Amino acid sequence: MAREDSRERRRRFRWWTWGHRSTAIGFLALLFLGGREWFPWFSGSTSAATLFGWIPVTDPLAALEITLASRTFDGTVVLGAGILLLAALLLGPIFCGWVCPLGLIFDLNAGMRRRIARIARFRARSGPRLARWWRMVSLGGVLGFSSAAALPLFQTVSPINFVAWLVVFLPLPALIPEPGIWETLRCGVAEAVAVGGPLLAILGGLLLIELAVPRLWCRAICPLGGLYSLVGRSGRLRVTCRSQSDCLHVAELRRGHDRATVGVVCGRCTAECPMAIDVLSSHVEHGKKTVDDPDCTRCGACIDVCPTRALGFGVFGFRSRQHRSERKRKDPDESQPQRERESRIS
Amino acid sequence: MAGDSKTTSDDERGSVAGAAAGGVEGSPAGLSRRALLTSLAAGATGGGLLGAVNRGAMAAGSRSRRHIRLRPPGARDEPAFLAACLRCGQCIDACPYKTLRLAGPREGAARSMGTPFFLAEEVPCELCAGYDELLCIAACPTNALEPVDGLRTIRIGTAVLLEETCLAFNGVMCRSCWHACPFPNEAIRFDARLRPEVVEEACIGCGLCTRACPTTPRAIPVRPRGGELDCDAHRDTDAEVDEEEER
Repeated sequence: MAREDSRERRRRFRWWTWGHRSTAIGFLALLFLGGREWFPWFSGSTSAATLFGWIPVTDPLAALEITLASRTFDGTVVLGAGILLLAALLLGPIFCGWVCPLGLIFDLNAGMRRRIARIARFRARSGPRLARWWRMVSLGGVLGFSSAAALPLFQTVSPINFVAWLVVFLPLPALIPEPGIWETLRCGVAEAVAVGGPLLAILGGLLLIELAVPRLWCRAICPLGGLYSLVGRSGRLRVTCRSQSDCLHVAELRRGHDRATVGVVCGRCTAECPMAIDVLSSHVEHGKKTVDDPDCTRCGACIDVCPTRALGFGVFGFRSRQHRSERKRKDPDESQPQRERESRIS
Repeated sequence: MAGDSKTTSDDERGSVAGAAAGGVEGSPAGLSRRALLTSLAAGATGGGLLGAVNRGAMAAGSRSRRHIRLRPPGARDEPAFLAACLRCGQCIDACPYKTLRLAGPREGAARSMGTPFFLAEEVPCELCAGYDELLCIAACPTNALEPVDGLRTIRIGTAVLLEETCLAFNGVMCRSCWHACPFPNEAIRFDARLRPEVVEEACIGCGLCTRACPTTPRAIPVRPRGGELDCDAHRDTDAEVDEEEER
């Protein structure tokens, strides 16, 4: 039975995973094209860009830093950041899951690691759960520093920007043609190493950290992710548990097995989550309809691996949020039926 | 859910109470808020100290002024420019002559990473000859590059004439810089012995004369506004000039 399961799992195509990978690759391609002079429809990099020559888009953290550092209010910047903030407000921190070029690198790296783990037969675990406030520390530090030193700190040292700069600007703006094609090439490569080498070294260092603690950057350091998780806290697009009874683990518990003796039956969703969200125990098993963790980047990894397809994406209206907050307010009384339900399960 | 969180393990509490986001004192939501505020203060203190040291160094005219590069036309003063520049590179993208480049780690100062600059020796600012406006200023999403009121008001820097290497000062007939200058007879003019001189009030610092200069190193480099000559060779000659003047 277990072997059949694993074979079935391997055969299934990870639609969401490849979906968000392809949008991120598309964004990288757009960045590259934006740097070419014959491509007028996109210009800029990750901190700010212009679409079709007139729609401004600004990274909200960059906009905040600039506003704090220069102490001026810029209409274009605010408008550009507003577009992305609105998207995050409605859909959650989708930038992290679907666009971020650094996230793409980490995700491809994790995929490679999983593949190697399967061949070499060791367990590729997702990292330990890290406290949420770590990212808040770096967000606060970056904003405080930017304002006091009058310098947008994160924009100068952000590895996300490094990736964008490498893609957009490394095919150098002014390659000096030397006599002979080989000489030109040699100078070009030397120039590229001199310019991009340190940036590549920093990115390589981040990948080395990945070996020890996967997604340490995304989960504990990235101030941009922290800002998006703050804003996207009430995002309407969420991973949902369509029917709790489909979940292998819940079904097992309902069959009368005790969690203490059975342990976690399936738990693939929790194991696969790049942000180390405990999808199973904290959400599905609790009877929550949605994965409402603010760290969730909507990458869909848990949906892809769920063997019974109990998980999916769902969009919620603002009415359901009201219901939830009402329930929250009456927490002490309302948690009673919840506990009853759980005791019925276990 | 908050009721549950007390009984669950530490790991689970993070996600459960975080979802509640009620800001209960001591819950991870409250903790993250406190962390945010504390680190805001810590970052502000650190940044303030660093900023003060930096401003002091700039005022004293020490090393940090040597790292100031030639900025695009319309750039604000260096500290204000560094504060307002988004590091998005849209000006670099817009530059039709590929004058502007992105400052990387090689350019020496971490604070100017990702900002635009140019090297007058290689590709000077052509002032968007053949275009209606200065395209870098038009592309800038912030006010790091401010609109200019005519080309004559641009102040990228000032050309500095080094008399030891200048051919005209060494008995050779040369008017390369004058021919290249966008404002000949205003920014560069000749004295009675046909030796060039730079009129600082009229020079905008585009660097067209620098590229045109036939000597190596160039006899007419551009000193960035608020900074010093950035090339080592130039700096040495500059120091020698100063010494000679002192003598």
